[in-house]
Amino acid sequence: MKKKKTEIMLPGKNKRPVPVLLSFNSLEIDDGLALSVIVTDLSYQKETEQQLKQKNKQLEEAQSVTKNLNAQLEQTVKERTNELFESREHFKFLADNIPTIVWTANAKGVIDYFNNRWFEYTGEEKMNSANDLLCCLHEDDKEKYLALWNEAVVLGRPFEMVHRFKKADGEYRWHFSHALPFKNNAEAVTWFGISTDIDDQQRAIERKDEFISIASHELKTPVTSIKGYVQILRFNFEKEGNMAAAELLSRVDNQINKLSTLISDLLDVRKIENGQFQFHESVFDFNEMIIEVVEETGRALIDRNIICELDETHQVKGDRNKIGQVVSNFIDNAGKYSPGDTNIIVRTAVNGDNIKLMVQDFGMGIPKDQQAKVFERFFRVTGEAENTYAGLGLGLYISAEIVKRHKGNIGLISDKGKGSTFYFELKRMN
Amino acid sequence: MATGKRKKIFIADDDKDILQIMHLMLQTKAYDVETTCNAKNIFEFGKELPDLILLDIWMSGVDGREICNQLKKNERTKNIPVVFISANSNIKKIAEQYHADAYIAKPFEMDYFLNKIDEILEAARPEEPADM
Repeated sequence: MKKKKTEIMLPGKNKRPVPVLLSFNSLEIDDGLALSVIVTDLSYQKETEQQLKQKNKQLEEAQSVTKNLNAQLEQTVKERTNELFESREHFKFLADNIPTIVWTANAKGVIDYFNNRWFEYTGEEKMNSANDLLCCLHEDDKEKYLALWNEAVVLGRPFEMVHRFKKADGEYRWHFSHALPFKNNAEAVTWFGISTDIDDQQRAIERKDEFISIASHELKTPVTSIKGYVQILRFNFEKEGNMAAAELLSRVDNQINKLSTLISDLLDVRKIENGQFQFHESVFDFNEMIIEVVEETGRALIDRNIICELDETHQVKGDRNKIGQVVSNFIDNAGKYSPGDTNIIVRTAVNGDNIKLMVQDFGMGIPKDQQAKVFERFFRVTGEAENTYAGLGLGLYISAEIVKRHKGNIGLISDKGKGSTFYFELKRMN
Repeated sequence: MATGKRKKIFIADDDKDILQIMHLMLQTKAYDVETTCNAKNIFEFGKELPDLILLDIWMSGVDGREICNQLKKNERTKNIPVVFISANSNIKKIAEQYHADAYIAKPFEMDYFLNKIDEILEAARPEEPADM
């Protein structure tokens, strides 16, 4: 049998050429030759082949793109690694060359790095354990440090504390430590901490406090003598019936009291700043205290008419002297900032669970934009006549602190030119 | 006074002016006053103990707090009322800590000073032996 195959194009439908396979088979039989021709339509096969070729080409292209991408990726990783290395080196270079202790800790708060300054300061040669920092803390600071640090780590919040670190020579110096969590997806990853030596500043503050304390003691001593002699003289003049001289001496006495208040204010401010402003609590009658203070303060406001309009009285729990100091400060200010021929009104009002004291004057008033500032330290009313008002601007600052510490409200209602009403409100008992 | 005898007040302060002032003030009330600007002499009372001691806290060379401590430890002097009188701003706390009977802050009002002393002497009276 003989076979032969050939591909040719035959005109198909619409005379479009169609690829076909012609297969010839010849077979010798007894007395002649049998011939068969098979025509196979190849158009589907050709089409598939064509598609396959195309797919292959696409695949090759994709492979080449992937190759390129890989190369790029490798390059990027290389660059990033370099950058990271550089950035770490930069961080270390920076950290090692600043005069501040720098450390880092992991997410659990375990310290894993100290800069050079740490080793210089502590005299250690290398990191010994994660407890190195704790070992250098002053015994009295350890408990608080641990509590604050653990809280910061658990909550992921910044850490801050003033404490002492032991130096290589055994001396303890005050440091201000501050650490921030570096976060990724809101979770702390690394803690960056710095501890700044503030020993010189701390000692300066201590010296300043000591100076104020000594100065106020030394200032009070001659004031005590002057006041004493003035009072004895006044007593003697009164006994002799020389009332004019006695009256003059009582004015001197009032001025001495002002001086003595100024000295106490300076001390009070120092105590507020240091958190040493102490209160001596007792239960007392509110109106009784007010009447006493009005009488006392009024004595210094010669020729001023103070009108008392008191509501029903109640017991109040607090530091009687210090609350009295607030009332006295309000009345003093009212006298200072209003003309001599105007009244000063002292009112109390029971308001639910609270008892309120108000001191109203009919003076210059305080412009709205300055009202929020009156309770700040060293605030003084400014205006054309500012030079005529004496004082350090501490009274209302101290008053606000006193009321705040009694969990009360303090405030004022005022219009420029229409006078002011200063008030405070405290919880009443029963 | 019930006993007919003038009360004796002992003052220790290192400032002579303040000693004189307190002396003059107390004289207006007919008290016997003895003063010293050297508080080291305070334990040399002799036979007759004072009825009240006014004590400065911050004296040159002597610590008023320590003196109060010793007075209160001494069987003979422990019942004499001790009043701290000082310009120290923590006078109230110091008075409580060292078991002083009262305190007067400097500068003080003459009326307040005299009333306070009357008050303390009045309160101290029941502890004295009954009148014969």
